[in-house]
Amino acid sequence: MNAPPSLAATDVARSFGRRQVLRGVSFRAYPGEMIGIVGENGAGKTTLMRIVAGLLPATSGRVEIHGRLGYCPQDSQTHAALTVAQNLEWFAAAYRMDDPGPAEALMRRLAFEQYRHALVRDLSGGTRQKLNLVLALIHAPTVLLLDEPYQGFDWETYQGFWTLAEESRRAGQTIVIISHLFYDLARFDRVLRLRDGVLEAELPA
Amino acid sequence: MIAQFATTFRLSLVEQKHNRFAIALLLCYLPAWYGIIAALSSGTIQFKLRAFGVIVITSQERLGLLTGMLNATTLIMGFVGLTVMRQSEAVDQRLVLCGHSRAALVLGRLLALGLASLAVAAYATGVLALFFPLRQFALVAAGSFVAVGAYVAIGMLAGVVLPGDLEGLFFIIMLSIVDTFLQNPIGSAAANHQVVEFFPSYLPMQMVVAGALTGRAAWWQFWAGLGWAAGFGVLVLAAFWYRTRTERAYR
Repeated sequence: MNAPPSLAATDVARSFGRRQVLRGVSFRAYPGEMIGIVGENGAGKTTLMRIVAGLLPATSGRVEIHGRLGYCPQDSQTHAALTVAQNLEWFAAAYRMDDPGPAEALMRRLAFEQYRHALVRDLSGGTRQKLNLVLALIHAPTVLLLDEPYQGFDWETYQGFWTLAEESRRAGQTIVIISHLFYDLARFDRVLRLRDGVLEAELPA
Repeated sequence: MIAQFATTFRLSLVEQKHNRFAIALLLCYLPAWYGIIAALSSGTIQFKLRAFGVIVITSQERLGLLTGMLNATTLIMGFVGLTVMRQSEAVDQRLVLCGHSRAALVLGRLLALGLASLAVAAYATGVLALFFPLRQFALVAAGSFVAVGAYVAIGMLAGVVLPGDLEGLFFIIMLSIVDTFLQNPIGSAAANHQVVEFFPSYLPMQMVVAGALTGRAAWWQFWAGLGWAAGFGVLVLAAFWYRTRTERAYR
């Protein structure tokens, strides 16, 4: 890769009390690259993602991100007592956008534009997850971190998600996705496998 | 930041519009609570209104209704403040990560809940006026407003600082009991002790009692009572600032 990395994690370690969850994880991700992070439950995938996103401090190590960050957490984090449109409006304000304009197209791509005025608490788990994902995308981030982003998606939406991800990669976005699904692995440029807090292998996809 | 503040304020108000449980409590529980107090209280009571140094003689029913109003409204709105912060804990953290100003989030919420407190105080005082004539309606409503406002901020603080819902509920209930019960001359020998002057609802209680039962008023108590709410609001902001810190230093 000739371009400088959009994301560089160097020797990232994290402990919770005596339990060391990450033991010096290093990786780089470049513009236009899609990386998968896999590993068994408790391997430290979500902890690594939260550290990279800036939500959790590392015990030691360093993370550098160049550009706008988009982060989609594993659990849907939205305002349940507001509508889809109101959630989009609030996040657009956070991103300092005048309006959540690009959200319309994304909602159509993920087939939930009809729920624009529905309260989030009345939505199905899958539709909430679609909103959760769109909230990470509306500001066209340069680095996108997705923690199992398609939980609860139906098959068509799942396929639509991957088409969207492919397009974003081609447009130069750096995408890092935590996945549990074996048949997703072929979609990634590289796959990082975490085991016991160590980046055990970098598998060819 | 002003745009973020305005968005937070407006959408926080919308959130409260959907808070059906709190609305139901206010609409159903509060009049029922007044009714129970009015039905079960009898006799007269004589006590010293500390802020004015005057002796007031009134019925136990009226004094019970006044303390009952403050007790119920502070508890309900304290829970509302707690719930707002607990339920939005994760999404607030996410908004901050996305670049939202923490001050705009907290101040927008405080202002929205402050406005809700104003409506609650006016409603609670209005219902109270159905039970007995209030000599100074505005003073009673103002006293109720500053008490409710302080407890909204206390609830928000509990929501930010304490680890769970149960701990927050327990904290607000215990604080409200200590705060309002000890000041009540019906059943509390501590009501004449100077320590009650340092309780969050002391000044609002003096305002409410003076407004309902006497012709006296001291509006400095309103501003000082509002100071309690503002003080707790500053603590909410500091605690929220600490809790939602992101690791941007090495970015």
